[in-house]
Amino acid sequence: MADRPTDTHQDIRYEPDERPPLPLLLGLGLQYAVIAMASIMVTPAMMIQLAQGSEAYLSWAVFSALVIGGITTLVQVIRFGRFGSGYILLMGSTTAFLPVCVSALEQGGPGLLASLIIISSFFQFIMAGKLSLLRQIFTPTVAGTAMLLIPIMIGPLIMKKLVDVPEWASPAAAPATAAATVLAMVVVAIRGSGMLRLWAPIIGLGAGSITGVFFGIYDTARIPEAEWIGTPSVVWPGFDLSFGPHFWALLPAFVMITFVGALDTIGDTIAMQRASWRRPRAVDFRSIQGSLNADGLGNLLSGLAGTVPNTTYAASIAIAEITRVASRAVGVCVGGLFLVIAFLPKLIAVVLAIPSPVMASYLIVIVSVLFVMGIRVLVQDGLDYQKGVIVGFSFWTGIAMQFGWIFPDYLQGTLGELLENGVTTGCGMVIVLTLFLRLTGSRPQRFKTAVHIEALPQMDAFLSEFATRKRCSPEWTAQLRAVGEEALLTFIQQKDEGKAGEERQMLLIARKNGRAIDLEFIVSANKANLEDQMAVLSEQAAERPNEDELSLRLLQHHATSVRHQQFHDTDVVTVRVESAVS
Amino acid sequence: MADQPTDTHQDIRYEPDERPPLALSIGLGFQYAILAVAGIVLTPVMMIRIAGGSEAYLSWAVFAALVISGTTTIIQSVRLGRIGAGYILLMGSSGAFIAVCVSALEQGGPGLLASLIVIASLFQFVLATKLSWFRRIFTPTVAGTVLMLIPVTIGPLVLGKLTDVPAGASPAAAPVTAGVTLVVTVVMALYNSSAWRLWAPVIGIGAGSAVGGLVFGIYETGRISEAAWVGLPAVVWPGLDLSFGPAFWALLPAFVLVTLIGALDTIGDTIAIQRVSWRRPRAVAFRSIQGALTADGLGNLLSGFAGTVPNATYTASISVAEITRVAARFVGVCVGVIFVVLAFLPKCVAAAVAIPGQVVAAYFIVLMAIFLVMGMRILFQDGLDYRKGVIVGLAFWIGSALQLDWIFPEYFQGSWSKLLRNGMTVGGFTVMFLTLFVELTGSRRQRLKTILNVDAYPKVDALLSGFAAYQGWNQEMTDRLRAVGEETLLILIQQKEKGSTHAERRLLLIAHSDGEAADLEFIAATDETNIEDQMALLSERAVDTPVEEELSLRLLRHYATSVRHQQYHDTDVVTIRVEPTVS
Repeated sequence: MADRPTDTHQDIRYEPDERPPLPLLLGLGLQYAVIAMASIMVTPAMMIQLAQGSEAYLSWAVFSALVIGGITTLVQVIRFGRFGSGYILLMGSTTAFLPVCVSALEQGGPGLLASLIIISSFFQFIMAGKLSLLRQIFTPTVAGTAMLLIPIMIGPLIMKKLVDVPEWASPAAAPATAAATVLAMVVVAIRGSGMLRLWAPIIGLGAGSITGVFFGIYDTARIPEAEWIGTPSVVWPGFDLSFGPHFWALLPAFVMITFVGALDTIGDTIAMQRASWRRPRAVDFRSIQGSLNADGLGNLLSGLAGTVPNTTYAASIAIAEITRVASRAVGVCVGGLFLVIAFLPKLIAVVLAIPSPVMASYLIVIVSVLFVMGIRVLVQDGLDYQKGVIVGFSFWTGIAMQFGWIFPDYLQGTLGELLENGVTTGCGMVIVLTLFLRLTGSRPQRFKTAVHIEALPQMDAFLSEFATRKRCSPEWTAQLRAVGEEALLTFIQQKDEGKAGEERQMLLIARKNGRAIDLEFIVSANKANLEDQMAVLSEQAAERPNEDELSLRLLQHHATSVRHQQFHDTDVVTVRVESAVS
Repeated sequence: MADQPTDTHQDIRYEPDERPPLALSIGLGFQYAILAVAGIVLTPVMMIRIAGGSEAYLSWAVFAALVISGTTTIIQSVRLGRIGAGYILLMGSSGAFIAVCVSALEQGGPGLLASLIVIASLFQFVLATKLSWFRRIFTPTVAGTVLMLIPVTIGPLVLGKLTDVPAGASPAAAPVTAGVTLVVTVVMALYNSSAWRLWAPVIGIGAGSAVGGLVFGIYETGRISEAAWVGLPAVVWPGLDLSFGPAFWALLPAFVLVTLIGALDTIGDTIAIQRVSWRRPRAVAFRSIQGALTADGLGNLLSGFAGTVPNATYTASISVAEITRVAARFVGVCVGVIFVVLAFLPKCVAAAVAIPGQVVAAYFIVLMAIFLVMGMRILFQDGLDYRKGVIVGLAFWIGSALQLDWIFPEYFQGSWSKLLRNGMTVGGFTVMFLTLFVELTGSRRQRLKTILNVDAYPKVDALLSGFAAYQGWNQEMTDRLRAVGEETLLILIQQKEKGSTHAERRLLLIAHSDGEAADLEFIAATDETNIEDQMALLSERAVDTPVEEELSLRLLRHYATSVRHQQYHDTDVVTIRVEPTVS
């Protein structure tokens, strides 16, 4: 696709460092807070109601979700040392964790939940430090498969909540409130434009609740009972440090979903960086690491408090793009508002009074969108034949295990518990099959150099040796060498044309793939590790690549296909050279 | 992406009109036949075993499937009048139909199944003649969603067969046999070489059967020795159930949806085989696609009359033609004949029917996995924007939820419940309904059809001015739209002059708005067929790789938010989005 270059943010009203007037600040802050508030509160409420936790635990979990959402939003925005992105990135409870959190609560209570969340949050800190290393295992294919599986796993939970109305209620109450919620959300989401679309969840919950009032199932009694200002009693769940079979059976699923959240955070941070500055800047790698650390911190705190873990909300980017305000001060304001709301029990009671069928149908729409996000992540990562087989097969296995469709009699004990979790089995299958593919396929070979004419003989030698090792015909070898030479010349030319005279680094990865050889040239001026850069850049299409054409014309004589993605300071050229058929 | 133009098939050894030596034709014919025969035979076997049909019906259904697949494969290859593609396009039983066929057999027996297939096949004949009209309702979004729902619908059925072993068999027999089949098939499918991949199902089934037979004794060798070498099964003609009761109406929508998905697949396969069959690239032959669809419809009609699983084209045809570089029609005829001959060799059929249920189930697990991914690809290639995303996600979830009885099961009783508890029907119709809602509540599309030359400019300009006025856009936006119109028109005219053919090109301009921006679509084509039918085909999967043109579009980008130019053999499609500027 030939999209417009991405240097079109001249109309940003306030950059991160600028400060808008106070009324605008508060107005925008409130808007962000109201949009995000529902998700932050509804997710822990659903979790505890599903697992039949006590009222006291419910109030505590919602309170702590708001406090932690507020704190981590502040950390994301202000940036403390290595924690935080330095951009408006709203943090709040994530629905993706719902099925595993409910399982943990059911199997071992809040203590088990707390220890699982804490342990899995450490993986996020590791990921922030070793991005490229972890991404070798937790590829977007794993995350995408998890995103396809979560909506299906959540199905039976939603089913329970859909019919959860008082006994005396009219038989039409549950279907009518559920339908009102789904219809309102979907109509606003598909018909509304821009800002209105972001309000779809609130409008849906509102429409469902009003219908609920009509049927008398909106729990109005809860509101007058609640105080205007106050804190709930502390229900600290403690930790379950027995590390019993339940812990080990659920840990892999928690880690996988933590990873899905982390991937989301990376995508959101890149997108927010793009939407925040008038002049485009290179993707700030440290900011991404900071964002992951803050996300990890949020999860850690959620674990300590025994509530649902956090993630970044993509609404942040949409609002910043629409309002053209990217000022950090707004983020601080939102974080502050979350904290204030946590201490307003009456307001919390308004959300907790929402009838179960309304919350369940709200969740239907949210997980439906998650499913499509999964498809996007998978396809954007390049869903070729092999990955297609892996994803399809793993998804299928995940669902079949989750619902006990495959040999349920054989799956008993801890192993059975482990394998009965769709995310663990599905994502585990993706990892195993991908590793198999990598181990049995030919190993990629790497060559690093500075982009300079003197690098030509070395690169030529590398390609010749690679071709010899892969037993390529002389014509094929000549093709490969020609492609290498032309690619390098193109990069050198680009450097000369460019404004900056800084040295650029090139990483060439050569890989044999059946009857073809894939060469990947990654050229960057950025000082950060080139492979870490790649791990981030391949992330979703948050950054729209600007595809270059002219310079690649020549390459096409030798190559079967050429793909050039040009990011702000990084060029990625992928060339496939197939052997000439005799 | 800047892929190389598609004129690289100089190495084709035999074009459709050429005739390879007989030995080569028969050798290749066998290769095709072995690759396809598992699908043709095992699909009716699976259907009847799940639904619990008689042994006589099983033999008849397999026989009929082979004869009909053979006949339609020959028709696809040789082309009789308006029926057939004129290319090697293997036809065989379609796995996508299993779930609905099982429901039909369970709810009304073979008679109901037969009438449903027959009626649904008529839709395919209509589709062949009214392609663009159909594609407005039956969009790739519907097809993608329904394809993704097939695995959910059929999952519990197929997996139920996993544990179905004869009494007295070892408890390890089922998991080991199924496991071996799955592992071998998946590993072969992940293999780098495309030739190995094609053989993955056959090798997987072979490995599973060998383990089942040699280690656990669950391969029914008795069945093979009992079968005659040459012969005919007893005719078990199910007749047609013309009572059109509630079960018929409840299942018909699902049958029609699956039939239309099969048709989409046929369209994609026919375009692909056309591309790999000729040394010099030719324009996509529209008539050949219509012929392929009609032959596919004929296959379904015959399957309905015989009471077996309907047909679809097998994509393996294209892969084999690409690998062997033989696209001669005569090979297709050989394959068809081999299918028909096989039908009359009960021992061969028995060897396939004797395959343990676990092996067949494992084969279908892999097939279903591929359906899911195919669905995702179709959705994405069609452009999955925010709105479509919400629609698809919700439709998929609601389809799965109703299929798996998650939503208010107590409310779904009576004949309606059968309709609403079919995930594919509900999912497909949710997409159609929501898409229709978006279309109806959104602004109307404005269209202009004209000859592509300088005289078209005033018409294009008038349409765009009127469109901007209708949307209530300001002067600046109106001017930008008009400038985009002018430049695109000039680019397309310029290309016409550059082109080798001097045939007259026609232009179709479609302008619409989603409330946020203007979307303009310029389609220029030389082909004498209906330009909208052409569009319906071109949006079909990425089988025809577009060559994106760049230079000429530079200017356009000053005005537009995004520009996309797809250039097919004789058709240009330029899609431009113009957003109003923010003050």
